[in-house]
Amino acid sequence: MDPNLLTETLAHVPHGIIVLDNSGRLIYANQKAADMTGFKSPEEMILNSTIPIVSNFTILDQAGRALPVDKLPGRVAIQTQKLQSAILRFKDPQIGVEHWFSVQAVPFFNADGSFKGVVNTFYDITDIKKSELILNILNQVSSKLLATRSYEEGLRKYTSLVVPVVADWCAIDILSDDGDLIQFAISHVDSSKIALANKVRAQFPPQKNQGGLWHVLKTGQTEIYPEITPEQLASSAVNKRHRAMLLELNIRSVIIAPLTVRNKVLGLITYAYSDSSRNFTPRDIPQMNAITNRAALLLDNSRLFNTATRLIQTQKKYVAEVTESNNTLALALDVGNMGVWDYHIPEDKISWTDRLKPFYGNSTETNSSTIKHFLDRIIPEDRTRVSKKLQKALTNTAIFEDEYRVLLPNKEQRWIHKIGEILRDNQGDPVRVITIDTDITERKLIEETIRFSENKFKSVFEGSLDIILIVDDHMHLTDINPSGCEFLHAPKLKLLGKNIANVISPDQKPQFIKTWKKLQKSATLRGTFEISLDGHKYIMEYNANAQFLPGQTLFVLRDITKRVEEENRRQHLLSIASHELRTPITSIKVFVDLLHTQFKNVKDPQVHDYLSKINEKTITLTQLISDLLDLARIDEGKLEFSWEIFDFKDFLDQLLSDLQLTIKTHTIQSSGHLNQDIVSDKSRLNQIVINLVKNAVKYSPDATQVIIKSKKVGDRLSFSVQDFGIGIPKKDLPKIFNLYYRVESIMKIHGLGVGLYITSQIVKKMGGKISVVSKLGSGSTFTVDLPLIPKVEDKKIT
Amino acid sequence: MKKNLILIEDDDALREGLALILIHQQYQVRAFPDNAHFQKFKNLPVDIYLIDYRLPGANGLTITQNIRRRAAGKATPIIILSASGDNLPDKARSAGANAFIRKPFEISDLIIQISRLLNP
Repeated sequence: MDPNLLTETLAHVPHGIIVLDNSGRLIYANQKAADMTGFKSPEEMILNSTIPIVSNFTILDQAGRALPVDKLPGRVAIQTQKLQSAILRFKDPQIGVEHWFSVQAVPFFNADGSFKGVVNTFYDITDIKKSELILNILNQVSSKLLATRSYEEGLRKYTSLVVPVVADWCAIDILSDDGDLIQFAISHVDSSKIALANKVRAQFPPQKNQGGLWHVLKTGQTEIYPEITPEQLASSAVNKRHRAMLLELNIRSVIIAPLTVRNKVLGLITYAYSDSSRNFTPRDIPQMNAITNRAALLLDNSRLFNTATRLIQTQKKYVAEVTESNNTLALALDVGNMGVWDYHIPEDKISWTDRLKPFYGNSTETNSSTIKHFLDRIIPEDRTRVSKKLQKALTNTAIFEDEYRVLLPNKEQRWIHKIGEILRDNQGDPVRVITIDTDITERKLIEETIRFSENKFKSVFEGSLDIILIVDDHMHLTDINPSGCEFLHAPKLKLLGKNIANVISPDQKPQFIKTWKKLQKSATLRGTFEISLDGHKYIMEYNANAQFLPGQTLFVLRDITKRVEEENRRQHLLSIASHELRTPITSIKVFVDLLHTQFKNVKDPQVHDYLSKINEKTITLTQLISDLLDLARIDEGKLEFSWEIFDFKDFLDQLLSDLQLTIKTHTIQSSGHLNQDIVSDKSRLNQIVINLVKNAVKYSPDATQVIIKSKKVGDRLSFSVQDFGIGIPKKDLPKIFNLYYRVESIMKIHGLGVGLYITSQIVKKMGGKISVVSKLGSGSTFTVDLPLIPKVEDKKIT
Repeated sequence: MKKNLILIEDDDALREGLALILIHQQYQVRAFPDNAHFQKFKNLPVDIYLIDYRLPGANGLTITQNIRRRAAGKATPIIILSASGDNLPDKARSAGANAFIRKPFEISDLIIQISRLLNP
């Protein structure tokens, strides 16, 4: 053969042919071989390296495992001098594109049988493989992936199967419920491009109803863009940045296929070639549709599965609910003392559940009777009403409700509440009444008790002469009785909801609020407060309970202004009276004294005697006036003290020496040198001592002494007044300090019988104690015990 | 030397009676029914005052305070007389009085009290 022809032929053979010598050195390569291995020409290829292929590609076996160099068919053939064939995958490490080759290495020999070299042929079977792989995908999708319950998972697996075999990249978009295209899965030969693709998608989402994707959605037809030029790509860009990104993505050939499920387009799958030199052609469309439909099936299947599962679950839940509901009803009826009552009107037959047996049942065991029997069970007072009401309801209403009392066989009465429906036929005539009957006897009893109790409260509330207010936590009035409305000169409606501080004491809010706070702390409080309303001042006595009801405080108020005024007036009157009486008595004394002087030189002893008597009586009168005033004060609880600190011994000594001057019949002995400071009211203490000493003198006319002893006992002071007189009978001792109490005795003692009473009251009010020991015929000892420092609220100590 | 005593009491009978008694007790007595009259003679020498609490116009305590304000009246003993009790003794003391005597009093008590204050 002509060598040139051979060379020409070899140059145009569409398969790669290379020849290696017996040492493995490349001695020949055709153009295709150079193309395949990324060299410009065979010469370059031969010149460049001993294993030129390896330098440009990653070599993998069929399964995708890296193939070691010495396992290359050519190498092995050289080693073994036997024919080798293999299917290899050449992967471009930079762009990730793969080509599949069927490689044959055939050794050839010299005429003498010595090994000369190896001829390698490379068949590009990428396309064939593609079809094979597509079929494979179809199968895989059919079997394994259909089993996936989650279609999301399935679709993702799909994309990873498609790339890099069928396309350089594959993206699946699903139509959302709102009508947006959501990218669901994406695979790319070059995984770094995925991020870029996502970025582009995110920043420049496909405009709704514009562009290729939306077109396919609308038409449901697969579309192909077999060759996209960079210019075309750039022109579809929104802006410069977009264009740059698109150019980087370098999408060269695209098929967009719709995901159709039962005639409904649910999404799309986009298949694209970018960096590899491959293109989609229209011939590919059927194949692409085939696998896309398998993916769609997957989608449909899992959606069906999900829907079915959901339906079953809903069904199960429904059944459970109904069962639950039935159980609940039965339980409710039982627990709530209820039963079902069923009246068939045409047949005049009434039946009921067991629960109602006691009410409607008779001696027979069956739970049924007639309407007459039913009505007969109702007590006479309620019977007519229920009967009438039922008749009326049957004529035109849908619901029947009533309450009535039934008489049980054991003569007990029970309250029944009946409520239910009246069922009608097509003509509208009533055919059946079904009701739920409940025994509400307990509830009725409670209601009655509450009502009774409420009525009691109501009558007290409405009828009380005192003002009753009920106030909530925010001091707003929630109720007020008629007396209250009268006092405030306003109708109830106007007052309700108002802040009580504004209503009661608008001029003294801070004080009222202080009282309120105190009340909230202590739950109940009594006291008085002053209010001024419309320019008038009132003094109110109150009794308040902050725990009357949850969140409600009760106030009972009484206007004591008049009473207080009266008391004050009386006090004032008494004061003035005692005052006015004293002045003329002073004059009498003065003139008696003058008369004494006048008659100094008169020898008539009777004159002086008469004058003395007059003076004595003025003393009695004065004492009377003092006593009366004291009695009045004690009576009204208005005994007041003015406290001082003083030395008791000094005080007592002075007092007793002054007293002694007026008492001629007895000597007053004082023992106990008690220099002790005491806080007390000097003039009242004076009064006590004088009263006791004068009594001592009065009730021991035959004695000559009165002994006073004083001592300190702890934080108290004790002094006693002892006489040696007639004494007090035992039976009188307990009552000796009572008002007006007079001891019956042989002596005629004049006076009101109030001295000791007043003395004992003063001692008590000082926080002290008074007691007496006495022996008839020997005498009496009165002992007074006082605190050194009295515990009283207002101390005025000078 | 007779001691000078000023008496201010609005009850006529009482004033006259008391004045007589005190004169008998060897006091030089000047008696006035109220402050207005007393003021006309306030610069007279005085050793002791006897002043009723309830007077027309200025009451006994006010008069006491006025007396105490003056240099000459700072140390002069003052006795307040009154028919009312309650607190008056305290008030009297606060006003500057030395003693308080409740009406009606024993004449002898009054005499003693006056004497005590003049001869401490």
